[in-house]
Amino acid sequence: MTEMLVIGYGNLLRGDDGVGHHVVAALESLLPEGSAFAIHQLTPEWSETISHARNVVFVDAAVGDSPGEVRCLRLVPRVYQPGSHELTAEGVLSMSADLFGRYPNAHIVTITGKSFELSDSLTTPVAASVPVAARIVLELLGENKAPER
Amino acid sequence: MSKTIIIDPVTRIEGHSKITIHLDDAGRVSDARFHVTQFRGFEKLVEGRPFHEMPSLTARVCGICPVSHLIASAKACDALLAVKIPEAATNLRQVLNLAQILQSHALSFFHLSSPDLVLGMDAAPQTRNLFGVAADKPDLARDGIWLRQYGQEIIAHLAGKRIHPAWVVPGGVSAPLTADRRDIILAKVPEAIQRIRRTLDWYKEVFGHFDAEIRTFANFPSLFLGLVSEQGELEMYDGKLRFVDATGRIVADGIEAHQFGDYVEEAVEPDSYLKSPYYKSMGYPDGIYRVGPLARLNLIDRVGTPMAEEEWAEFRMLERGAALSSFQYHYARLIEMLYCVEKIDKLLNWHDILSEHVRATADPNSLEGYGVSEAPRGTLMHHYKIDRKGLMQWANLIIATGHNSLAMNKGVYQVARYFVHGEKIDEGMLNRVEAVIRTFDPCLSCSTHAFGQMPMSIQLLSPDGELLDELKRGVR
Repeated sequence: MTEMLVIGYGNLLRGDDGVGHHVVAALESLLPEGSAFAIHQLTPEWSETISHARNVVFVDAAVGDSPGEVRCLRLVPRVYQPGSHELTAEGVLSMSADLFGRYPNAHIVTITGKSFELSDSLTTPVAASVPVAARIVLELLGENKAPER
Repeated sequence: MSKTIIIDPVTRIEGHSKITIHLDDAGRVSDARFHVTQFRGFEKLVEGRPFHEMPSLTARVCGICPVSHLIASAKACDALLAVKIPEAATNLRQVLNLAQILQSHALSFFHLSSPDLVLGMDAAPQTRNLFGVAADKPDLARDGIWLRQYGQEIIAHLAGKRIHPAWVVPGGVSAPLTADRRDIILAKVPEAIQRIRRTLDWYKEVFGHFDAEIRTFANFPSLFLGLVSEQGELEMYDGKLRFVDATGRIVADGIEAHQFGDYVEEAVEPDSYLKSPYYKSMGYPDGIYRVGPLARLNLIDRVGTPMAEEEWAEFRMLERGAALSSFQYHYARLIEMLYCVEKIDKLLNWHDILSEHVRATADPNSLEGYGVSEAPRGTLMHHYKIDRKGLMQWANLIIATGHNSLAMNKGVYQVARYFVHGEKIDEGMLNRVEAVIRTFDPCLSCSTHAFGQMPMSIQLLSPDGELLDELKRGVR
């Protein structure tokens, strides 16, 4: 059984949509090897991977009125598929439960984005929130280490 | 009063396309068209770039099959260098290409098409998705996840990452394979074969339930194009091009990449960014041909791996000549998955697969180069011209989906004629029009694979634009 997983996802070429990757990069050196992943989108294959974990934190960008706002939600399995190639974190949990008999304790940490236009960098408020989000992820995982910027 | 049904968008993210269906005064389908409305322009974007960047640049054409572009591009660059690449590198590239085909076929069959096959074309869209398959047939869903994961793991073991790896380079590959990674891949071969065979057995049990779809899903005579080995075996990396006709008779054979232009011309349609290649001597649009799994299994003399060979023999019994229904792309895809795993097993057991010598180096020795390989969806061709400094002057990419353009159009028309009647639109009709496109697994538009909550609307319009009927699905 894997103790913990962090999965940050989004498009690195669409500005703040890639913030999940940046949070994972900030955490990588603080977590056990092979427990932090930065990916483009969630696919059904992740349902198998997370079924072996006790504790999973997803990190994603969100749309909202307060750029840089960091929010944390506990997740439960829910059947919902927004597109043909991607799943929501709740959908991955649902598939994990249905196909592999269990799902982990799961949270999602979201960072509200300011711009999702073509860009390979984060906007200022979102970049400033990366260490905040990373710290929350560590708390959720029970790892009390301070992430570096 | 004549009317037009527009399915727009058929896509949301990767692909942008729409389908129009024209009805005559009596409500019968008089025409149907598949339009690709996105423009990529990679051929212009790469002009002026150093040729050695081409594999990485063109891999960005697609997030589903970047490896296919890497392979074809690297082969075109090999031709510019005019070098013979080390045998270990050739074999490692082959393994990578086969893993790509395996994972892509798994995505197509299990994740995208199996909801139609398991739950039925008329099932409610809310459940006709992978969640529905997971609930109704969890073994199948698990097999799909496992097989796609396996293909992606092989790519990651060889090339460092699953998507957009940069390991394939002009002249070979950038690093040799290690023994531990080879052994990890080989250890899962038996389970992969077991899962594919189980799925094949299931498919052969159920496809008979889809008589109407088999009869109408792009079921017509056409030519078929693909690579074959010197021995006439299934070939995904090297070999020469072959055309067969609907009876299975060889029309042209032994075609080298640089001769392709002698056989094929590309037509441009006024209502689509997708080019429409056709077999030159038969003219446009009669020179319609298909590529991909169905074509490949129609044109070979034998498969070349034992278990896939057995399955292919059974597949060949479907019809006297070539299998003509595009519905059987699904069947062909499963047989090819079996072939891929068997061939990977064989290549990784080759005595010198761990060789350190995996790259030939040279400056450009030729100003023009071709690269051809088989991608999951069919024959992929890259053709480059450079100047004496090695800068790209011109590029032409003929992708598998382009080869299938005329056939997809004809298929949409055939399906619409059979399933669309009158002024009312229903979900089953909409799904079948999509599903015929889905059998081709077009890369231009990954979301033509879509199901369930895919955003789509069909509008029934009068000639003066009046909205007569509308069906919306998941449109935001």
